[in-house]
Amino acid sequence: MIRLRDISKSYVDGAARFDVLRGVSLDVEAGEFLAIVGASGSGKSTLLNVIGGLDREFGGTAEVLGRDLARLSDAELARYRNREVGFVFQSFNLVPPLSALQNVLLPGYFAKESDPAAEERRAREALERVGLEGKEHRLPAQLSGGERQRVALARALYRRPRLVLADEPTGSLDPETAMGVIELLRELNERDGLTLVVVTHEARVSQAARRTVRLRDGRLEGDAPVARAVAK
Amino acid sequence: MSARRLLQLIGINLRRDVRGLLLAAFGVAAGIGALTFFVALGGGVGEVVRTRVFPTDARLVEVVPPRVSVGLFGGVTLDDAAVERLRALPGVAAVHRKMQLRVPAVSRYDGVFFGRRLRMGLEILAEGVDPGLVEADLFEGRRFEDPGEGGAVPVLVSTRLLEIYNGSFAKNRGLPALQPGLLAGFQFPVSYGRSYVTAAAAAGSEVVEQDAVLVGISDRAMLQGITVPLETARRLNARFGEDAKAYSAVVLTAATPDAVPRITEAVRELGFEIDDSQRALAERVGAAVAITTATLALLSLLVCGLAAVNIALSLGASIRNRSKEIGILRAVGATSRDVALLVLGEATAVGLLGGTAGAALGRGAAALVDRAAASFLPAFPFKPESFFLFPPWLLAAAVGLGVLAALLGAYPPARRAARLDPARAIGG
Repeated sequence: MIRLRDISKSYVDGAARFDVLRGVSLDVEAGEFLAIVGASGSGKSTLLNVIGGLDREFGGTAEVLGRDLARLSDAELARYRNREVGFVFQSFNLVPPLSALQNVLLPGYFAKESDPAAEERRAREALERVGLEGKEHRLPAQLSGGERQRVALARALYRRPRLVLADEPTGSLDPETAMGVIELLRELNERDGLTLVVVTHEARVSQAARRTVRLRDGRLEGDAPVARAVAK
Repeated sequence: MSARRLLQLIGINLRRDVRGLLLAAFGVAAGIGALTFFVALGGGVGEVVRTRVFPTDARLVEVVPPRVSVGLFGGVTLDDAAVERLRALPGVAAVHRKMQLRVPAVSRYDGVFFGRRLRMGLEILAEGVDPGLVEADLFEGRRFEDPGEGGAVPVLVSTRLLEIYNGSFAKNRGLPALQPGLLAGFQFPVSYGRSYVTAAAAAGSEVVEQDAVLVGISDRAMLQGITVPLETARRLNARFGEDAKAYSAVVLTAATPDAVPRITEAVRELGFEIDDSQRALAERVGAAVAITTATLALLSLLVCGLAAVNIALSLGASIRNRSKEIGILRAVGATSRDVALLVLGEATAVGLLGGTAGAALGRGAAALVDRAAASFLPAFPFKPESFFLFPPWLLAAAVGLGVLAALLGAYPPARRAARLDPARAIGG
């Protein structure tokens, strides 16, 4: 499903150059639950952005679901993010003036083929699935942290993507709420066969995953050149 | 993104900062309001100049004899032969002759003048014209033909002369204002061969007393006198031994306005001149009005420009504040184009609101000015009921310009928003 080869990424700030990713190669099969762990600044989020098509300027080859992401146009990449990928972020990243239901529906706004009634039904189902029935019309500010993250999860799931990318999904949650989200992720993977790539520095999240790889200073640690599953 | 979804997102974004929306729209409204007001004022004043002060018909060409004659046997005269040559010119649909009354004339009025006692003497200038030139302006049931020596001579006066009388003369002398309908059949005495200012008055020469009766008001009647039938002018000129064959002018009516330049050229080739003094004067006054309007309109456009800058700054700040949101939109499938459309859509709403409010503001201010003018300004010649002209296109253009100003202001922030790197925007 995901085939990364020799991915590199640098930032230049004045005369200084920062190599965030240095030749990362990685394969992820369909239905995997992969955790990418590493210290802060190790390049985890950057790698996730490359896989999700949010970052287009990188070296190497990133093929996801048969697409060479570097070769996609802006519109093709947007369609890829809309149809194939669901994102979950640490800080929830909900749009403040939109209700929970509207936030979940947001990807549908940019879908080419759209049946408003069907879209809304699916969005309600997604909210129900994460346990937020009855809170559809609440604004993000009227929801708790855990509820916001579940809205974000519902948004990531509602278009029925084949791949969900989560960046520190429990980073802003209390332990109890975090466990709920982890359980939900595991259930999605085991019951629905959803491919999950989760960036985390929390052990409880990586322990829930079926495979873990570690990034250190932009390099992937493991059986280079291709990182294989680390049996738990 | 579908138009419906785009409108939904625009609505949501606008509702979150209503104060900012109103402030941005106010700037546009101020510029558009001023622009609408001044353009309508220029249009209204120009309309008065064109239709009432200097009414001109684009199809008419007034031919006069040359002012300077250099020929061996004298100049070219506008006689019947010349009229036939002019009639034969391509593109000429009708020919109407004019003959100046070459005899002095006065009117001594001593009687009741529309309810007031009036005793007044006036030097009269007169011009004879072919009836066809003015027949459309005759009062109902009146005829315009020479009555011979006996009856009252039918005369027309200029619409502008009546306007000047009502707006200035009558008021200064305590005389009643007159409506055209009231004047139908008004009769007054005229003494031909008499003058208050020339030697003819004292010479004891023959005087013909013949009343005149008003049969119409016309834009085509002479401004500073009375217009009589051509045959009356010819008869009186002959009676006093003056030239009764040469015409003072010939009015050619072109089949279409496009034919006028060709006719003008042909007339000049025949050795005659064109009297376009009225048209030139109308054009000069029209140009003065247009220049004044353009200057004020430019100032208003400057206000619109400032409104556009304000929109650019406020939208720019809004985009900076919403960069994370824009990153989220990109993450869930928005293209750069979608983001740009969203920003431009918000600006369009600001422009629509400001443009519509501005057009209404301009219209309202014009109504107030008209009302104030009617109440506080004294009557003067050609004083219009409204100083403004609001053709539908002006209001549509005002709204369109409001949208354009907003879009111009929104273009830089829209471009910046579309180019936002989603990964950086989300990461903050």
